[in-house]
Amino acid sequence: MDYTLREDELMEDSERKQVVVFLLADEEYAVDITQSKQIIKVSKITPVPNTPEYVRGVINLRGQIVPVVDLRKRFNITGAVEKERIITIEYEDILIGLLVDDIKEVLWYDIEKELESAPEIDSAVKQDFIKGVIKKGKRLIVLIDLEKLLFDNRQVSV
Amino acid sequence: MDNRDQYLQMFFDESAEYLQQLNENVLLLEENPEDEEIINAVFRAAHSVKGMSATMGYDRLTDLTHRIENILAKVRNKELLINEYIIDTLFSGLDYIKLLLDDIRANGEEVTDVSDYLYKLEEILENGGVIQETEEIEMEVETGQQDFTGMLPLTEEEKEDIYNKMTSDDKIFNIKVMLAEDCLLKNVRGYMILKKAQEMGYLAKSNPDQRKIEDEDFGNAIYIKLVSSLREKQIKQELADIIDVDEVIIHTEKKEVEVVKEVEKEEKKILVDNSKKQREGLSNIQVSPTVRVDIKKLDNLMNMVGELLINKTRLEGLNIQSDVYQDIIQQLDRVTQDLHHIVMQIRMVPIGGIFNRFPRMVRDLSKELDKEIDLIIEGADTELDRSLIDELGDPLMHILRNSIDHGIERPEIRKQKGKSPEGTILLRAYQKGSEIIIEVEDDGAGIDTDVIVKKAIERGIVTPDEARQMEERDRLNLIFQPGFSTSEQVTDISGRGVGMDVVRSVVEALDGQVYLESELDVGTRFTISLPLTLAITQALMVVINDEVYAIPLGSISETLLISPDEIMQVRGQEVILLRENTIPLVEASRQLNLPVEYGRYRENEEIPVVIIKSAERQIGLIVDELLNQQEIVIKSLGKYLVNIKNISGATIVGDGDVALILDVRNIA
Repeated sequence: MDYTLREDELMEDSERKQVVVFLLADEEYAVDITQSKQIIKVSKITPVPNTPEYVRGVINLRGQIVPVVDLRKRFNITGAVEKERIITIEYEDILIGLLVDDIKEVLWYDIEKELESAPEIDSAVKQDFIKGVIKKGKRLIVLIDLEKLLFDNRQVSV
Repeated sequence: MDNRDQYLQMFFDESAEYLQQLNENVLLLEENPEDEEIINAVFRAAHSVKGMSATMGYDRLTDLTHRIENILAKVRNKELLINEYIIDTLFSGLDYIKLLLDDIRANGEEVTDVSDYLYKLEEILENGGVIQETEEIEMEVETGQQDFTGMLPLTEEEKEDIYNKMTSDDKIFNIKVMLAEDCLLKNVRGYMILKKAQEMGYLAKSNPDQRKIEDEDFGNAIYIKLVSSLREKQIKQELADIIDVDEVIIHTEKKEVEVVKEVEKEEKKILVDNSKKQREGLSNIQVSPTVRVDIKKLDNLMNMVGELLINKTRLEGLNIQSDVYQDIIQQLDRVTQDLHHIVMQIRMVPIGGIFNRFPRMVRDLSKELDKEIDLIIEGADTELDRSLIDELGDPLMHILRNSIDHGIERPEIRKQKGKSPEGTILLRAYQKGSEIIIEVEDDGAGIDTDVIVKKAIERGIVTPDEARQMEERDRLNLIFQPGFSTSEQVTDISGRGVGMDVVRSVVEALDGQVYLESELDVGTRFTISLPLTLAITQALMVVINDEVYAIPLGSISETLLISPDEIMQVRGQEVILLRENTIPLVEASRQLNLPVEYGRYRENEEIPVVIIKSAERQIGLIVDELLNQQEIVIKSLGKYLVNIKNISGATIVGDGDVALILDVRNIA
């Protein structure tokens, strides 16, 4: 760890980015922090009929109606859920909530050195939704491609 | 927001407005080249843009508008005759103004190179149909190339100042003094130049200013605006005598201040002379007591009114048996309703705001395509919610482009068909009940459904079998399918990859609908219908599968509690008899595809039914429970969840939960 730090200091101009790391069935995932707005506890989610299964519903976020996407459902992850949190993200003017198990941390990564594209790792997530994998020592954090995740089928209607 | 930003915003807003006026009025000028009122209006608008640009320190804009103004001045003085070339040049000048404004908006500085265009303007000033060559004009032509007045932008105050200080003998001199390359002690030389200028008259402005000169913060050129009664030659001599001065160039201004004076006089005249009503479309720059407000603030206000309403509803729910309470509730009810009404009114703007930009577009396009098109606009004063206005521009533009490109035929073809060579496009807006209707109608070729179907099959939108079974109307509507474009060759005008499908999705996102009617060789009509206001409506709250839903009262005729015995079967369809009308029953949970067992209602003694009405028929919607009737604030589900079947939006109910709004139009 120490070594990485020193290298970071030396490479001042190397580009680093910050992400929010969250958990889905014990695997670590991340979204760009500039796209994340806030983390909220789950209150009442109103289900919306005639939407895909992974759209859990809508919530009232200070007077604004915000859709909530269940990432477990989106990625077809099964298993027991102990805790639920919503990360709200803003992408292209669209405010949306991502339902995840828990939020772990916020961390920096180096785009050149720590991000690997085309991951051949064992991840539950469909390759299409992955922007890359952040390698932090032994940790592998799946960086999610929000554009593809949200707009793979842009019209969510059935 | 700091002051500069605020001013900048005002600058953008106002210049956009003036630009719009300029576009409109130049268009009018083309039709009425002799009309002095229009010329004056154009002149005033150009003059205002120049003033604002100078105040904000945008040199290119100032220079550009100054020269456009020069041309207009000549037109006004009948030294220049309006012809097509001049109109075109004016239009491209307006485009340049827009480009520069876009530059400033995007980069904070002027990027677009306008020098070629300025040269073109000079050419017009020099050759463009001059009727009488007076001495004055010649002089200006002579020094025209050296017009560096743009280096000395004046604020309105400074102009006023000059005007006040000027006597009848005075002239305004724009002077450029070049110091030698190897000039030593530039600040001292500069100071001497300014001092000398002050001795000769009134030094209105210099660039660099005195401070910059003292700090030696300038290049080799000093620009001076001098008001003096001396002769040009004399001034030149005096300045050239100063050590290290290489060159002195003087441009005597064509009494700009007098022009300003005239303009002011005319403005006043127009303001006073109200009986002389302004021509249609001819905008008047007059000060009315209005305030410019950021639309976001209005959105906030709207949200606050919404919350107030929710809390009022909660308060009503308490239902306390007290006269005072009832009285307060009534008052509160009245105030919130008024408040809501006022906020909605504030948000309403005339649709003319978007209609205005179309005449110019139609003119340009029809010219480009060698077509003759008369655009008639009706109902530009029809008002609708600002948020709708912003979204409607592009769809309308697209429909118009389509009419121009595909609808209206070329003059020779029109003649063959026995039509007038000039095609007509009618753009009309009006209110009909609680809806706003916008129509775009052309008398062009109409849409050939056979061609449509052929294309649709080619593009794989429908199979030949499907197409054969389609009704004429559905065949026509194929053009709204994604990936459809009727143009044989992709033209610059309407074949831009975005098609009519975008038009439809935008309109539907606004809770509106778009219809299409067309007859071969007679014409085509697009009709867009939109709700007058979106924000607040009366609704009936019902429970369906433990969730609360709102049904807008506008689509409900009544509610009933029926017993299972009243349900009858007609050809496999459950119906009830209501005042001798047979009304089919549908189960709400089934309509919504809810994951529950259907038909459970038959086990209940009382079945709540909401009678939904539509133009053609009535239908009984079976719900689990009828709640109260209340005002709801309609909120959109956002851009992620669009076109959800049978759901048109959401609202927030008293306890802060979200209730979905049922869209019953497709159920009934």
